[in-house]
Amino acid sequence: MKNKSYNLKIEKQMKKIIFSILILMTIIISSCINLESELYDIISFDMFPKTEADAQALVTGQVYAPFRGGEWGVGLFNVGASGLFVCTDMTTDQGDCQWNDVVWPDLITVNFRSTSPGNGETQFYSYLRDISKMTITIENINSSSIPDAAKKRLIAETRCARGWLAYILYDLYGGIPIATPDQLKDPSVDVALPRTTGKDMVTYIEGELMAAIESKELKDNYQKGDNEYGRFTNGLAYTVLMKLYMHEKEWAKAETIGRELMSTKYGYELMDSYQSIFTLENEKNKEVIWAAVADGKTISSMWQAHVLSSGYPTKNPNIQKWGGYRVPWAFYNKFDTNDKRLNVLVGEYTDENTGEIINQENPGTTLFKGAMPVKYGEDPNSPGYESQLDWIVYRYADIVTLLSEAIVRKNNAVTQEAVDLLNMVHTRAGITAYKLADFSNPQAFLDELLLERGKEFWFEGVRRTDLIRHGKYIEFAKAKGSATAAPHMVLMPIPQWAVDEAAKSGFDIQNPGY
Amino acid sequence: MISGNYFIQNGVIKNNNLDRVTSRINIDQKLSEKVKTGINFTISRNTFDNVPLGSGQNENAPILVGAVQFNPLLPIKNENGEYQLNPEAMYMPNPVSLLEIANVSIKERLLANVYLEAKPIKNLLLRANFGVDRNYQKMKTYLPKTTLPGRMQGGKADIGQSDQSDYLLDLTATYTKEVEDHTFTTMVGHSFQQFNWENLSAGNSQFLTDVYLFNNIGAGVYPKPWVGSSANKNEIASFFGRINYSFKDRYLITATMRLDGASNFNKDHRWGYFPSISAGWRFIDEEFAQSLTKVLSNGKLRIGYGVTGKSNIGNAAISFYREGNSSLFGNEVESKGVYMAQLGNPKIKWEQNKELNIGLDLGFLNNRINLVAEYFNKVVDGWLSQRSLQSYMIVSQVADNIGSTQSRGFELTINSQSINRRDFSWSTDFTYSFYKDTWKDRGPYWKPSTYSIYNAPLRGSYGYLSDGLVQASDMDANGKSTITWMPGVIPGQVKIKDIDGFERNEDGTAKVGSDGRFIKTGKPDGKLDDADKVFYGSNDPQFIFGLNNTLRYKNWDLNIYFYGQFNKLNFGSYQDLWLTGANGMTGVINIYRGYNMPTSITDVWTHDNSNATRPGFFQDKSTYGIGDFYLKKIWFVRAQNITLGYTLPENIFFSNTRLYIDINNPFILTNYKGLDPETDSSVWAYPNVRTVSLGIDINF
Repeated sequence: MKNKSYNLKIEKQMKKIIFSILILMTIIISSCINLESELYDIISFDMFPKTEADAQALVTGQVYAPFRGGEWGVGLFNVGASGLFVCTDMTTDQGDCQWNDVVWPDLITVNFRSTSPGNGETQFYSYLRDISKMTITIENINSSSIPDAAKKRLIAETRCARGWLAYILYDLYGGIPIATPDQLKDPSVDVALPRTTGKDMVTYIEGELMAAIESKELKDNYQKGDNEYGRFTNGLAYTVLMKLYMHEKEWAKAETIGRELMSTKYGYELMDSYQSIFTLENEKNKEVIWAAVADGKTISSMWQAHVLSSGYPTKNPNIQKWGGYRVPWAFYNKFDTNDKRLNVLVGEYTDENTGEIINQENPGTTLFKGAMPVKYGEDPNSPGYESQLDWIVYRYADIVTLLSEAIVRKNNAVTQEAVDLLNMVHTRAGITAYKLADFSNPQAFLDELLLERGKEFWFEGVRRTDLIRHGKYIEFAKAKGSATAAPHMVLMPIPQWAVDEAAKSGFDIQNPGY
Repeated sequence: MISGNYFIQNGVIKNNNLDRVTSRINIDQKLSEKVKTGINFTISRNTFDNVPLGSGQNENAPILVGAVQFNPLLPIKNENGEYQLNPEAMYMPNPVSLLEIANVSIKERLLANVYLEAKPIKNLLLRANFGVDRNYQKMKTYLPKTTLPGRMQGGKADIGQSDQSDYLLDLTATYTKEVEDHTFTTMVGHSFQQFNWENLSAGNSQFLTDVYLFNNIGAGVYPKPWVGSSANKNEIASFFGRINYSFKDRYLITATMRLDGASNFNKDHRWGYFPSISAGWRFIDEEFAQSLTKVLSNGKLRIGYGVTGKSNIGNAAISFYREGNSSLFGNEVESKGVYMAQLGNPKIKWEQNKELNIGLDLGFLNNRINLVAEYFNKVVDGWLSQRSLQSYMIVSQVADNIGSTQSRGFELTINSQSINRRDFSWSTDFTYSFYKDTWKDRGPYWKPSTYSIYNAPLRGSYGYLSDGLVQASDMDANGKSTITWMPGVIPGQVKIKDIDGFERNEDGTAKVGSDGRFIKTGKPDGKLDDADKVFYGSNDPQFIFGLNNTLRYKNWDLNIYFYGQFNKLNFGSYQDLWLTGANGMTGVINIYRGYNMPTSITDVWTHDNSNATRPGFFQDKSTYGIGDFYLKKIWFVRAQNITLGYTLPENIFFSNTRLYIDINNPFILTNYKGLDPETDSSVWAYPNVRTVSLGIDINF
């Protein structure tokens, strides 16, 4: 018995000793063991940007990136279901789609909802993050030690981008929350920001674009062959500014900018024929104000794959033909049969497999929704859906016709100059020129101008804004059969996830009516 | 000991084969009375031939999707000997052509452990173990020009390989002491693990000929062949101690303490303490139980509580840029971009899994019937996951310890040796388990939807309630919908219920409650939105059981194993979803392309079959979806295995010879109408196989 308790005592002591050793060891060793994690293929925040090339790469990756026109989801100007131009044109009398994916019906039938399962109307709200990335980029460049000249130039480009993106979001959703650099630094602060109201939003966009222009750091325009072709220009900044003023019905300001852009120092000219604007041979032509540049490898545009149908003849047999987007027959039929633009808005073709003639009367399975908006030329090297053709974002014909509109609206009278400007695109299509006498009143002119712009810019992303400006967006939606179109739909709904997020901070940021 | 194993299996689908070689070597060597060493090696090599599988659509249609959708009236090859394409879907490859794709993946693994054990003094065991775990994987693909995607790209070759080297060092000291009825075991140790990973990939296209496959990628003339590589390293270190104490094997106590450090956390949060304690009581050995031993032959109560840690969130504490987002400037020269890829959260720390276990082991009638009952309650505190950031933040999410979850369940196992006679025996194993995983604390960053439930199951589904099909009687004289909350719907589409709405302020904005969520009125508001969505239920099965019976009569033996799952949510089988759309395929509307349809198409609503039970041809035009139209709770009971054997009487050549027939997956009972309620991962699932094997076991 005695022996036993003695042994137990030893055990107890042992336990104590072992525990103390254990605790001591852990304290000593854990403090001196240096555990290492490495990601070898990243750049850590504190190392960047150090050089001018670094800062330039940062601007490419965070400032230019949203404006690309690549494959699925790459950039605002991709031509898939997340493409800005495609999605907004689908809501108008110019767009329809033969596919059945969930993104299309709510856009086509103007049934906008914050919970639309295809997110067609709500998806662009996420570009809010890109505005903040630009804000942080300006901070990073400013605090880096690169040469001042480079700082100025890169910041001018960034501010141009920020103004442009803010305009695009403003046009879609109305005022948006704009964060200050300090609000972006601490992810543990989780508070929603109120939306910037209309007037402040305009001031913000104007301020950004003007800052870029007034810095004198941007070139007026680049021509094909220029080393910096594809970078933002004064021409681009002015174009966006003009669109903002048109949106705000500031006709005089819009007119001033329109005239500025007609100045020879920009070198913009209309191409002789409509279809030559969009071919590979004429890529980067003088009509282009800014294009999302593609090479078919690093960045591929995919237009033909989206619109051509099986059986539509192409020289390059590899071109993918999904046969999606269409211009509804109702709009197609508004064209004069001699209109040369119909060369690339195809209402009839011979099926290369069957020899059958496919057209409005015999639409088969490829033209049942409307005409095929071929528009762009072929890429002879395309291995499928990829195309090396630049996707034109803004072109001079847009400026010319907007200027015509601004002049008439400002004066509330049709002038010869306005008619001449409209004729620049009208006669290029091979149709008899308008005469001043053709228009009995300004409204008649504006109606004709709206139609002319429609015929000129199908699937170029101007139709929704045009119709809203002319007060016809909802009317036209109803005319094409929308049972849901309502006046509040001139603004798109804020996505429900962002609305729920703001509710957590106590307020509703949704646009009225939704 | 040295062993080797070679195994070949051909898939039910062609070109879907597996070939495996494994080899194992174990060597133990006594260096002296007190020192022992040993080495064990496992080497395996798996080679897979892969055929494209999955649920991709259109140009990405893999073999099963293609086989389902391809127009059966078309020949496999046309008069030129090329694979026929469907003129109504020229982008979809001919499914037979996909068999020409060469796709080989190789997985090699080397597991090596060396240990050294020493007993310097009595009762003390020192052990050092060093291990290497190397995983090497390689995937090689060639799309030949005879396939549609291969033709367009002039043949396309890809090679990717990844290399993982994990090192483990384990040092332990164990001291055991027995004093009469008391047994003590004390162990302390340290372990260190390093994980290294790297990969390399390359590819090219536009080949002159298909003959090289992926074995000459330099021969392609694509202007920008692709290459890629990446690498990372992580480390984990631990210090641990354990004390076991038992008295007469009747009372058992184990206490452990771990200190774990993970390199992916910031220095201040790197280390976590994880204690655990468990106790066992063999009450059958107590005196009061002795009177019961005729009936009760085993009785033990177990209880344990422990905390373990998890750090598997990646390198989420650091902020970094990645290269990408290239643009083209000048003469279309690529300009590499750099963008913020991750916003780090330096505050993240170990996730703590706190688990309570209570178990009861009972044996009856000399252990002819055994029962094990187990209850567990696991709380995960500081769950490591991603949380969403505000819509204006530069990235959409950040890692965090976002809240707690709770997992509770019960498991029961019963073994019974019901009959055990010389000529006849029958034994049964039954298992039953039931668990529930729910949210316990959503944390401060939770941004709920209107329909979210605070304590909801971790894996749950939400959506609209359906209300049959829209009929012609729902339309007014102008053909407009009279279902006010669904303007624009047409007959044959699924009708969705409007059950609730939001309270509005005078300016039309929705009212927000003090909990940061919109207030609902409880009344239909003529609109379909989040207010009308409801919780459908947990996606997990409610309970699972297994039942194994073994019977033996003289030389015959029979084994049948059943298992089943009950009350699992299912959103429709191929019979349903090929018609309404799934995985990007938009349903019955595609019949004009010649796609095959399930026989259930006869139930599709049409104007002259308005009593039909299934949504019509234009369901895809309704973006309100089908709600819970096909939602149901499914169950199944599967006979997993039936084996019938006959043992030959002993003879002079063989001591024991058994012939048997084994049927794997012979039948299933279920209320699910698709291919298989358990293995259908989508409506384009790989079929579950039934195997019949005949065998003979010979012992000399």
